[in-house]
Amino acid sequence: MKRIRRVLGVSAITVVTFVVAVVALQDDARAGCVASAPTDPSYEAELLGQVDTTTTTYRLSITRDGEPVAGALVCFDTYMRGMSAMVVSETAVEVVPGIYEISIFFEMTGPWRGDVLISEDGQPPSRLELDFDVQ
Amino acid sequence: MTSVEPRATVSRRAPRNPSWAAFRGMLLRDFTVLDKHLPQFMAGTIMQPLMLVFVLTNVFPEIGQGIGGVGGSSRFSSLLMAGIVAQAIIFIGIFSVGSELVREFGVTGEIEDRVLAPVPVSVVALEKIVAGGLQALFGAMVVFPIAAFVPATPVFLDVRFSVLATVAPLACLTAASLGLTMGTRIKPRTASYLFGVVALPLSFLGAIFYTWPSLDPIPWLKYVLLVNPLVYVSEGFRAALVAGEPHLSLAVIYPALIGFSVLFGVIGTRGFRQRVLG
Repeated sequence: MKRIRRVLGVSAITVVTFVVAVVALQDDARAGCVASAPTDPSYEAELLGQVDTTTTTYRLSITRDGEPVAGALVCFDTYMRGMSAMVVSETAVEVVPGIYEISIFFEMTGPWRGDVLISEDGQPPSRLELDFDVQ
Repeated sequence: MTSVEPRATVSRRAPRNPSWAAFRGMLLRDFTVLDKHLPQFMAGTIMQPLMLVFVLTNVFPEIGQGIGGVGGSSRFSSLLMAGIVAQAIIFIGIFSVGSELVREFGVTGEIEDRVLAPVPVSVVALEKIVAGGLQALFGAMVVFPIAAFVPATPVFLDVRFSVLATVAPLACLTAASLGLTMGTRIKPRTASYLFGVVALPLSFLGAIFYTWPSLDPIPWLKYVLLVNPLVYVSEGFRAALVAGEPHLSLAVIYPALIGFSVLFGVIGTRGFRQRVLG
């Protein structure tokens, strides 16, 4: 084993850094909009107003069991269907309780799919899918 | 007349299982050689994933050209990690086993020493697969610290340890078996084409930078790519590391990786025997 002591030493260091990295990479704080979350049917999301290629600011209504969801972290990822490379992602800003504002420019008309991640304090995050047409 | 009892001259017992002893000896020899060339091996192992991660997930977002948009860069970086791990494994498999064998067969003739071992030739080939697989596993582990510290956008992994612990060894075996197949089929004078003709197409068409289901808009490519073993390795690591993203079913990934390991293992071992006996 003496003949391969450098290989063994480097392997041991690699295993330790691998474990540290895996722990760090699973930190929820890194998750943001890429967090995996189940769909909770009690949440509903709706893009308010017409969605088109000229507007750059939209409002998103978030409710839970029909009640406005206030003070949540809301991430909105959206992509044109069939063109998954055309992805836009924004963290929404709450303007009134339950209404969140996002700044997005849709480059093309057609069917788009939104992916809304809602993280409320004390609640597990939840994802919603939102299909809409850009005029 | 007095008689003198002959003294026993054999001081060590013969190993119970000579094949296993020879196998361990060859493995130790390979790692002794690796120990001597450790700086070169480390540089070769780290450089490619480091450069890919640095350029795609650090430089691009910093200059405002992050793939996937502002927030989508995080998602892309997270998806990319599985691909980079897969690529590291396949490249190490090809180059640590394949190109080494090409050199040993053609240039140094080192392989003749190995086959003098009192074991079937197939055990020598198997040892090459195991040694290459262990090196590939090492290369895969190196990617994780790079992913944790290099990207400018956060990478988030949702590790499914049971999947990781099963996909990783299968991927390493597949890669090393592929390396054995290539190393025994490629002539030394054509070895320089290994990178351009084999490794690059495997890599770019191996679902490293995109997920296999995302190829829906190009159905012909989507199904042609299923012949590429790297697709199953990438998608396997995606299943193990990234949650909430569509990927090939594990019911397809496991049989495919086992099938490719066996297929390349058999072809490689046959080729190895032919080269040695020929």
